[in-house]
Amino acid sequence: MDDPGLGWLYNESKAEDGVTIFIPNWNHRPYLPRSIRSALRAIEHLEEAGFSGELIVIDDASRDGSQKFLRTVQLLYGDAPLETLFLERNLGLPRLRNLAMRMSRYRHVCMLDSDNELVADNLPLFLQAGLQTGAALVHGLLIDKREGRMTGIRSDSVASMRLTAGNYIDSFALVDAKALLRLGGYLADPRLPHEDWEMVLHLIAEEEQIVFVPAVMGYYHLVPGSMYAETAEDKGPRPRSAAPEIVSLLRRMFAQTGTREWDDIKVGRIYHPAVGYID
Amino acid sequence: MQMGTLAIVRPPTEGDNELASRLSKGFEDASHGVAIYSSPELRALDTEVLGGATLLVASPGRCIETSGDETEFLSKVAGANKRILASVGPVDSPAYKRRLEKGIDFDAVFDIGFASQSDDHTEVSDVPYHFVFNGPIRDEEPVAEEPANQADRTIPWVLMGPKSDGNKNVLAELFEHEVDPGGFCLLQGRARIMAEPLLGSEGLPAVLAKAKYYLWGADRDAGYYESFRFMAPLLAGTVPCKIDPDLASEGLDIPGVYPSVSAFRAEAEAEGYLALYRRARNFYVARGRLAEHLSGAFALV
Repeated sequence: MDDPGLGWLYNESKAEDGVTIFIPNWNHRPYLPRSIRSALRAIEHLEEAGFSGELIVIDDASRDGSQKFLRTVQLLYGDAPLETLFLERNLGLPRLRNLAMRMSRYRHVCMLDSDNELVADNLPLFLQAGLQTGAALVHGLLIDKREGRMTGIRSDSVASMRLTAGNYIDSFALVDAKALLRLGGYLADPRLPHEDWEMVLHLIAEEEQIVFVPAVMGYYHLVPGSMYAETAEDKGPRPRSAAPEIVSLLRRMFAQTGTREWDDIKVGRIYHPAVGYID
Repeated sequence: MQMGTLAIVRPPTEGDNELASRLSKGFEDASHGVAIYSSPELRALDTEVLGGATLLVASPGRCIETSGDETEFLSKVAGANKRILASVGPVDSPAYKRRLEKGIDFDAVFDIGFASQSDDHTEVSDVPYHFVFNGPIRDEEPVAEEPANQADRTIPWVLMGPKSDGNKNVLAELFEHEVDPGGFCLLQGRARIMAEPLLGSEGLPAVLAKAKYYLWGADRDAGYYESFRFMAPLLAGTVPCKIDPDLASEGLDIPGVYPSVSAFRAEAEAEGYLALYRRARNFYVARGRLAEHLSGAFALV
C-alpha cells in the first residue's frame, strides 16, 4: 500500500474535528472547477458549524494540463486550506485514495471524484454522523445529473448482504481513514478493479459499521468523458453489472455459501444526527 | 362464538390493515360494537352467525386470495346480511374497479378520505357510494393547537415513501429551486417497503418530531389526496404537503396541496411554518370526528 518516496507526506496524527476532502484527478481538467468550488464551499460550511476542513487534490500524472489549472487555483485561493500534489507517475485510483488517507490531517476523509460535486451545506451532517457513530463509512444519497437535470438517485439504500451480489454504495462517501488504513486500505490489484466494492464488502466482513444518512451528500454527474466513463474503459462496466469473473471472485471472497437467502440481512444502519439511529 | 352486527374483514397479514384498524377505532369511538376478522377467520364462522352481520370488507382481492378457499369465503360473504366495500384510493383507477368486480355483491361503498369522489364513482358503478371524511379518532385528540418542540425542528423537510417518479421529481425540484438542502430523504422500492419498512414504528415519529414539513409527490396518474399520509405528520407537529400539479388544479379545500415545489416554498416563506401547521390542524379537526362520519354513512346503508 505504501508508495516509496511519498512517505514524507504522511500525516500519522489525525484530528477529529474536521474533514479532509480528497479529489483525485486524472485528465479531468474541465470538471475540476465544479468539484473544487463545491469542496471549498463545504469547508466554509464546516467552519460555520464549528468544524474544520482541508482539500487535497492529487493529480495522477494528467496529460491535459490539469496541473497548470491547479497551480492557478492555488494562487487564486492562497488563503484556502487547499493542498495540491502532482505525481510524475500514474498510480491509479486505489493507490491515490490510500495516499490521500495517509496525507489527511483529519480522520474523516470525503472521497469526491473530480467530476462530481458536494452539496456543501450537508457535509457537517455527515461528519457529525461519523463522529457520533464511529462508523468506518458514512454514505448519503447521491443525485445523478445529466446535462444539468436529475436523472436518478444512488447510494440511497442501507447496506445489506445484497451487496455481495452487486455494489450500490458509491465511493463518494465519508470514510474513517484510520479504520480503512488499519484494514489495509483500498485494494490495488488489477485482477479486482472494483476497489470500492471490495472495500465495502471488506468492511462488512470485518464488522465495521456502515451508516446511511438519509440526506443528499452530492451530485453524481453523468457526462461523456466523466471519471466513471473514463475508468470504465479499464474497469469494465459498473459493479452491479460487473464482469462475471469479477462477480465470481468477489462472491468467493465474501459470499461463500452460494445462497442468496441472506440478502435481506441488514448490516448497515440508518442514522441522522438530529434523531439518532432510526432503523 | 358471538358476533356483533358489524364486522370488518381484512387480509390476514397485509393489505388494508391500517384501514381496518382505523375503521375499528372509528366505530368504537361511535360506540358501535365491531369485530375484526381475517379472511380465513371469516371462512371458519358459522353461516347462521353471519346471516345477521354487516361486513365491511377492506382489500377484497387480497381477502379472497388469502382466505384459503375462495369459493367458501365468497359463499360466507354472500351469506352476510350486507356487504360494504371499505375503500381508500382513487376511484378513477383500475384497482378500484377490480375491487368492485371480485365476485362480492356489495350493498355500498365507504370511501375513506378527505374529498368526495362521488362523481367519478357514478361513472364506474351503480353501488351506492358514501364519502366518509377521515377525521380524528379519540386516540388522536386533542390535536395540539401549537406544534411541540418548535425550536428543535432542525430538519427543514422530510421526503419519504416509494421511489416513484413523483417523489423523485419532488427531490429534483427541491434542489433545482435551492430549497434548504438539509432535508431528510428516504425513498424505497415498493417491493422493499412491503417486505420490510426501513423505519420501525418509532423511527418515523422520531424523525417527524424534528421536522417542519413532510412532503410527498403524486404517485398516480389520477389526482388523489392520500389522507392516511396526513395524520402521522400532523400529530407529530409536521406540516403535510403534497406536490401534485393535477390535484392542485382541482381546487380542493385540502390545505398543503401545491402544483410545484416553488409554490410550496413561496407559501412556506410567506406564511411560515406555524401558520401552515395551524391551517392543516384546523382543517382536520373542524370537519368532525371519523366516528360521526362513519355513523352517518352506516345509518344510510
